[in-house]
Amino acid sequence: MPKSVKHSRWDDRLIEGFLRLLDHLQRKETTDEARKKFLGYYQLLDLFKVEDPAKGGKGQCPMCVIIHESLNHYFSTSLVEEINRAEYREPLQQSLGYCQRHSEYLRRFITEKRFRLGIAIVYEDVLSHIIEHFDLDSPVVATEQCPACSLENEIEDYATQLLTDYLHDDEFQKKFRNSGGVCLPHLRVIAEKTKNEEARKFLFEATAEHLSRTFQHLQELIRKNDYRFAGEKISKDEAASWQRAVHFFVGD
Amino acid sequence: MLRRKENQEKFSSFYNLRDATAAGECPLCVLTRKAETTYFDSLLYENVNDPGVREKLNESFGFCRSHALQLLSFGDAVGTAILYSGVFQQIRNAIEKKAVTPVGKIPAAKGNCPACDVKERHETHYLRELCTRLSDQEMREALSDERSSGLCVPHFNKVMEKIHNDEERRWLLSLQTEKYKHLRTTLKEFVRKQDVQFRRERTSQEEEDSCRKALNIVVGTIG
Repeated sequence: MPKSVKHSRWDDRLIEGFLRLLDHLQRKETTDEARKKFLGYYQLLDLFKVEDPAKGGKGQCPMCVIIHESLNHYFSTSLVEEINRAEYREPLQQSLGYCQRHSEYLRRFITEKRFRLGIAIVYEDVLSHIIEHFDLDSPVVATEQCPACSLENEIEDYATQLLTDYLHDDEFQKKFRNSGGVCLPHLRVIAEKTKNEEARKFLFEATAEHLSRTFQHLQELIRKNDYRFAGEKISKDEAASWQRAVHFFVGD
Repeated sequence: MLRRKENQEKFSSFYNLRDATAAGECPLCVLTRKAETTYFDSLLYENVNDPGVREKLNESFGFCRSHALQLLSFGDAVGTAILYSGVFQQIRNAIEKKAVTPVGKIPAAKGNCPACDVKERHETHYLRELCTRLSDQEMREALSDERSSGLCVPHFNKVMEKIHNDEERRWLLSLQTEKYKHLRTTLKEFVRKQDVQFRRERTSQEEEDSCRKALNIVVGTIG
């Protein structure tokens, strides 16, 4: 790079990353690992930045956010672009559509007219399948897994691996501390996958810090709703703490 | 005299079931959801400081995901904060201990979600009531009425598991088939009218609602 060109530290890391990737490609050491390290790593760092409560972020669990965004993308594309493909529709007949959890997504998409046609086509198929298989002696049950469940499991595995791989990284740790942390279901999964004791210690320390902050806000919210302290203003964090507390146990 | 005797055997559960068929959704889903709403209403109104309730919630680590989201939808910040403060403190202490000694697993919940227990109790009650009343003329008329959408797939399977009378089973299967065929026809019409060739034909309210109804009938009513 010419010395006269000024660039930020962010650029340095990107450039270094790309050069290393080029090196790998040239030496034909291309692996998925090499690519994942750069895209996924920075994707997570960006997510921590967005979810930093001190910077106005909602403090959501990054794993939950990755899963939600992926599922939203899956539904919005498949209901419009995949709807005439047999590979998309046939498994849905066998799985009796989507499971109850993923049908929540469809309920949100139903409010938009452009997705309603796709949903109608899918469920017309499913109803036909059910009517065809109605029987006095055996119940109509799903014989395949909900396709969105399979996708969610894949994404969760990928995101867990990514987080576990970089728990020891300094910058990662700094950003993780400042984020809203992970929810309890994902904390369990990550803790189980992380074999390195230092990394596990960091994970629990950082989570304990997140929980202490939320607990403090929760206590303050309760206290300030007492008529004796009604004059004290409730901060944004305190106002959101009751939702954060519930979401910690069940995910975002 | 005989008629009065017959009517005396029918209590509020029967009439709740009968009336719920007119909601256009699975009556068992409607009644279960109503029971859940009543539970959360009274919990937030008068039981947030009840020690028994709080202890149960501490053991179960709060509510399961779908009931936790239902609780949040009530928008009661202080009530929810009070309910969750105990269990939150408990898990925070457990995680702090893990930070010092990171070996072993994070403690798991010990009890069931209290709202799931309420749901199961009501569901069992109304399932039993429906199974007992399937030969009742008034119930059959209510289920066959055009406002009724029949039972959802999960509840239909549960009812078929419980009833052994051949005539009742045949009747219920025939009713479900008729209702599902009607819904499928409505969906087909909705799809047809989205075609540019038929864009001038207006979709009826029933056709507009058919997607939501189909979703509900296949998985059971959601939230």
